[in-house]
Amino acid sequence: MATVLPFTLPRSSVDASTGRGESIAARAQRGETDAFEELYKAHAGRVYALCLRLTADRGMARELTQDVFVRAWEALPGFRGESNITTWLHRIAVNTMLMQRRSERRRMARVSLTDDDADDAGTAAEGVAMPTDVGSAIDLERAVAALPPGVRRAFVLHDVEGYSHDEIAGMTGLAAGTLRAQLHRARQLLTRTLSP
Amino acid sequence: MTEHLSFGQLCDHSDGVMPAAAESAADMHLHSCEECTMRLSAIAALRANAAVLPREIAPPDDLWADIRAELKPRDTGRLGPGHAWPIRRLAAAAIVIAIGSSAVTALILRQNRTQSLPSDVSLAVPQPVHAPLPARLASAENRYSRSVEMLQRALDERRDSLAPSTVATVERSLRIADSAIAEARDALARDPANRALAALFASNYERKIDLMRRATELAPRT
Repeated sequence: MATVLPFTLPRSSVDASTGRGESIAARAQRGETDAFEELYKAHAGRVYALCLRLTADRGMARELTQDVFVRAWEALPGFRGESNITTWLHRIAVNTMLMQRRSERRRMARVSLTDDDADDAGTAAEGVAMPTDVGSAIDLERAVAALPPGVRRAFVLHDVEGYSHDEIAGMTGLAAGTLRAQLHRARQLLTRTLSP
Repeated sequence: MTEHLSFGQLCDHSDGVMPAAAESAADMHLHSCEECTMRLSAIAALRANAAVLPREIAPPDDLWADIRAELKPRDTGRLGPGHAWPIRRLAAAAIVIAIGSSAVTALILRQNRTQSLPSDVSLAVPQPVHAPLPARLASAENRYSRSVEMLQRALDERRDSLAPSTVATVERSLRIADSAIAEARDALARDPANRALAALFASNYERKIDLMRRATELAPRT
């Protein structure tokens, strides 16, 4: 008999650790805020770490993390588990940050003709100086925080989070070649900054 | 290769994404160039240090409260947009099934008559009959019936958790679906060799089962 039983959950959704027969994500998908809070507690540390490194600003990281989870709540019913939920949340974080940056750039463009598009486009020209407040003795986190936004994003996603160029291209919509150039630029700036 | 490797080449070498021929040439150069080897080591050290940075950083304690305040309740209260079949859509789907099924049944019957029946056969709307279905279709109907029974039990169990208006809509939708099935079944009993009718009959059952499945999703498990 090939009857489709409507109440049989996919095996992947069964959470053996909770013994509740259903994953936290599935419960959150149905609108259970308690389950979503559990999801938040399980992933907030990684999401906040990413947001903090992407923005290099605690206040912005807090806002971005908040936006990520609010958007995740709204998008969760559409989450089909094709990707790891951490990756999915990271993707939302990157997209949210990109949208915020686009809005900010549009706003800035109205008052100024200067922006940092050169860095976002990955033009790895020689001679771009690190910010002057970054000394040779600072640790890697601070050096990463001092990178221009575009190259910082490439470095954080590739070298810190371990995503491939293709995965990052999928998250950001940028060409793999551009991302590679940004990554190389970030490493070049960091090795200079961190060299004794 | 006698020239020094560029920083990009060193990065590609470190990432293992350099084409094979270029990698061999770079290896030869690195073998004899201390400067490039040092730069490559610096990149490797940077990558290694980055890879061991903490993956988690505790967010501010009060962040969840702010997030919680922004969460909007879902439409269905039980299902999100991906699964949501609001009750109006459910009813509309049942009506579509009924109208579509009736029209298709009539069309199939009409085509069948004009193509193969003698001209003196009445074209009056056939009355429901309960002649037995061919074995193949009877077997299929048994399978569908078992699914329907299971879903019906699930719906009965959850009935109390649904609003009376929702229950009424679900029941009305199911009656419409039943009517479409009965119509196709009767037509099929009269013309058991008609493959189009057999497909319609099966399709109507599957749609009813889908309606029931979605209706059960409207209700929480008790």
